[in-house]
Amino acid sequence: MMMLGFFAIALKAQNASVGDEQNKLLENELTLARKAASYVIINLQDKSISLKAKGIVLRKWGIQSSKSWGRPVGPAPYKMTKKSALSQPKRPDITPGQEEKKTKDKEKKEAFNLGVLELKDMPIHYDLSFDENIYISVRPKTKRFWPSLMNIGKTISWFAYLPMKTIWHVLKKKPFTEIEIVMKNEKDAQGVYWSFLDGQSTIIYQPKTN
Amino acid sequence: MLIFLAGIVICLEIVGYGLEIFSLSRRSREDLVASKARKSLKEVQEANALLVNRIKSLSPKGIYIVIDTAENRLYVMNGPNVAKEVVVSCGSGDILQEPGGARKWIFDTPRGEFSVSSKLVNPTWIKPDWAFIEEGEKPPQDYNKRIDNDSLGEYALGFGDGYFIHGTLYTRLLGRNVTHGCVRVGDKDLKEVFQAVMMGAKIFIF
Repeated sequence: MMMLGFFAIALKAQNASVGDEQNKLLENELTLARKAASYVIINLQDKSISLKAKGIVLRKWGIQSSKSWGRPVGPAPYKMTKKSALSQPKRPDITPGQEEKKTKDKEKKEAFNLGVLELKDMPIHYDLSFDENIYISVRPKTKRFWPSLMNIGKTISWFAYLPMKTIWHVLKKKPFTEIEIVMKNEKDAQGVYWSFLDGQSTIIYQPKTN
Repeated sequence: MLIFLAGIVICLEIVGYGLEIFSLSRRSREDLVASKARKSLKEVQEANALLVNRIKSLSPKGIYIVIDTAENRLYVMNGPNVAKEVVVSCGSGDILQEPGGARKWIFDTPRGEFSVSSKLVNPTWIKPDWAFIEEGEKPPQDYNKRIDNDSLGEYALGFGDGYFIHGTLYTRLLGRNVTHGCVRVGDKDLKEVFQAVMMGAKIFIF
């Protein structure tokens, strides 16, 4: 009976702790919903990334798995400062005078490369940098050979490189946070890349009790 | 030499992992201290419910539009429900540089929150300079040469800065990113969207 009592008290304390974190998350979301045109909530507990505006969910992606290293982040708003990828999508240039012909060609061909920037051109492995030394590495769950090889490389780098980075940041007295997110598929990873704009306000919810 | 270097790397790795474990344990102690100052579960739940309602109250009421530029989809929303889903064409992301000039255009559909600022039947397109430059022509001085009555279809919904949700001659390109920033819709869908949406209705583009 005494054991059950202890469990009940511990559970209640944990629930209150989760509630507290959710409270902070909601308070910050309310602030963003009032002032930002759109914002992103990366919820590592629900395993989701939501693009929202005025409290409505514009788009939601599922997270396959995630892991984090370093200082935990509170559910506060952060600004995305940089999007980087090994192969950045490049905007096609229009050659004046060629467009009319190209448009007619576009109509003729069914399976066509239009020379435009589309979702399929977005990278599937990339890093998002936020203020306060927060870094998020995104990769997809995939069965294709080269992306899988890249995933293995990323995993090795996670376990080998991050301890070194920790030492470096301790020496510099600048704590950092590294989060790795594995999306459910390649298209979702591309969708998140597409939707993240420079300076995008983002709340990262990383429950301590997870 | 190689063994020596490997030894250093392993030592650094151990120190790095040690620092991470140390910071984890310190965090747990801080959490324990913070938990003593916490509100009761009931108070927290009540506060959270209140916040959820306040966020919901900011959501647009009635009919509004959501446009997904990645998937080339337009959703007519009625509160939280999708009233209609339409395949559209959004901005191509292409760049046009004026030959010998300083002007440059990037053909993206603007993203963010907008409102329907005009509703036009049989709209006329006043072709901007880039429409001529793109075709290798010099922009005309004569205003009448800029008038185009065919390209925008039967209806157009303006949402500022010369951007419209309008019809298209290129229906086979619906679902692809091919426009100069406007949102092209097929004729039948366009009529329904036009009739459903009121002036001032919100448009969220992402």
